[in-house]
Amino acid sequence: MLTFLARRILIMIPTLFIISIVSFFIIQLPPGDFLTSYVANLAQTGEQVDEAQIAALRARYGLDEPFYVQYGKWMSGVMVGDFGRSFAQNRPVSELIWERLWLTVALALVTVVFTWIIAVPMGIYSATHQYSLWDNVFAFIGFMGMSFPSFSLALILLYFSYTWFGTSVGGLFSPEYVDAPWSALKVFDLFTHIWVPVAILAVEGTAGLMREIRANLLDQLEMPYVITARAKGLSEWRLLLKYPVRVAINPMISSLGWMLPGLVSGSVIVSMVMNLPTTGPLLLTALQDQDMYLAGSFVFLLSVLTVIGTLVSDILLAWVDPRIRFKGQES
Amino acid sequence: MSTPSENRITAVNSRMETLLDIRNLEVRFRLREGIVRAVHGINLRIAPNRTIGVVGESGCGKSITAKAMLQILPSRGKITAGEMLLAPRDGGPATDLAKLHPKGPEIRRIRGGDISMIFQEPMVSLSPVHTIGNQITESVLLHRPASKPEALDRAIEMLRLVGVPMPEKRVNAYPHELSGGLRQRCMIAMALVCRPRLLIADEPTTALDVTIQSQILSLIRRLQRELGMAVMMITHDLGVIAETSDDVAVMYLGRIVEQAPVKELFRNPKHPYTQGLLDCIPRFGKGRDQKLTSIPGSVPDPFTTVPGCPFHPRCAKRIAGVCDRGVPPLLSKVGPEHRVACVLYDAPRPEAAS
Repeated sequence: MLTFLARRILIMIPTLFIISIVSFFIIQLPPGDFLTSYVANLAQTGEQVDEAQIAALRARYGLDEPFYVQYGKWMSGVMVGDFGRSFAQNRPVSELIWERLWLTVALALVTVVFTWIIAVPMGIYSATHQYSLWDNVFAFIGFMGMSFPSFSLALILLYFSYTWFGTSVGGLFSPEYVDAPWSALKVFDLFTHIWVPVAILAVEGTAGLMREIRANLLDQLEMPYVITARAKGLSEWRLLLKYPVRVAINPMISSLGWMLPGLVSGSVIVSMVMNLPTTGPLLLTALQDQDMYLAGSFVFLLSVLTVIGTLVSDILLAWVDPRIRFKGQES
Repeated sequence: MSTPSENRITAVNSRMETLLDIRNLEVRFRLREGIVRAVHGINLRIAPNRTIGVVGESGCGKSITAKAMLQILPSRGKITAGEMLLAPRDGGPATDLAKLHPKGPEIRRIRGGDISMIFQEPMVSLSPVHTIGNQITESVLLHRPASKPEALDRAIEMLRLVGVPMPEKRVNAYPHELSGGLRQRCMIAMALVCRPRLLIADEPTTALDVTIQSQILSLIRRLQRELGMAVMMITHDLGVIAETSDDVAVMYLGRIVEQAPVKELFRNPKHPYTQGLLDCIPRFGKGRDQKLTSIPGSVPDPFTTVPGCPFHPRCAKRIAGVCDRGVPPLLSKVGPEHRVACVLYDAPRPEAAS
């Protein structure tokens, strides 16, 4: 297991290196750079553009240099933890991202836990009571949740949370707490706000997860090993949880790792609508502004998370499924 | 250990007592295409220390009968009539298994405790994500007052009894690490760890190759002698029947069409279906030129109801106007313990038929 891990981690290094080149290249693909769009913006608002100043900026950031020089400058910074500066906000990229990252992760984790708490029992019930009334009701709710656009659901929920509970619209905090230091009251305030985006995001994820559990479990329910266990005299409830649910849930546990990048980049639209201080909207504006280092760092971060997530998935899969574990040892 | 003569005496005595008495058992399946009567009112008596072989083509209802005995029918199947009286361990009234709720605690005590079952495919009948030890100790913990270490000791002891090498190591193995034969031995260990009074073996050797087959069959025979239990051997293979059984019931389309002690059945088959089955087997000493006949036609699909004797459309000896009218009951006594459901052997006098 240890050698397996060590090998996997070593392979990650060249993978990440190649990804960093590709992501930097993609960021550069659109014609022009941050300064051209900056100049265009200024021109649109009728302001004077100081050509000399632009040229100075261009030289300072090396925007006229060839691709590999720019990449080299950026990468040598990244190696020591300096991701460059954001042009648009004139602040270090790492500061911008970290500031929003933890709230994003918190929101996403709460959503994942919430989704599983709802979807797993619903999926199990639906599979064990196939074609029953509640199976159909759950399927209906699930598909509604999946097809209803989450941003409009966000607007509806915002309306109700404002008119019924008087919670301020948008954001994760009431205005008076946004810049306040952390306190018990601020945490409580966070919880009064966070349920709206959590509910919206959970509705989106529940349907898929529920149907997946239902389908996997239906495949397992009449398997011979389940009948063997029943023939031993196990009660239906313990039998269900110990054998078919365990096997049905395996592939989903292994997919937990792939959620990592989704945690950071997902839910952009909902976050925009609700004005959440998460990373999704930041990435979007960075791309629109051609804010090169910010966007590049984002794409790079997402790639790193994808690679790590895949590793986590593999480890989880080996952990929950002995069949995988042993194949890994033999090779 | 008992001497052979003692064994014979218990065998003779046990012929009198009954462990499980199945009367008029009927199982129906409610399917989208209609209702299928999978088991059609069968009667079976199972005695301790004896092996009853149940033989028939696939779809004849033999596995369904076994599953009905444990109330582990697939969700669409239901016992619609009949009784299954299980003699209690210590006097008192018999339990009617047919009346028990399939999810209730009474039947769960019997499953694995009094009646155990081993299944056809050892590859898929064990959970792929739990160790052998986990799956065997589970039975012990369910039915016996034992702590976890005690249960594990019993599991190891049982694995040794069924001939699994290095049982202390194998308890920690997962099924995919074992060969098919070893897996079937583990299944047997799992079924027998609580010393059941009846072992149902549902085609225990079908998925195994021939050398392993005979090992497993002799293992079951040896354990039966050691533990004094009854065995119900379900198979489509008359060779397995000949090797293991004391009595045989031949099933066709959910009915028992012939029942006899094993030697009597092989020497003197009466029902045209049984005769047909025996004619399909090549015999030693008859040379290459022996003719293997097959039964014409195939098992009819379960949704069409055959009027009269269920076998008559394929029967070479059918009597027009008789066989397509009434279903012959399993009453014609053609030997001391030999009964057959066929009009050919209907005694002319009414009192002989009863």
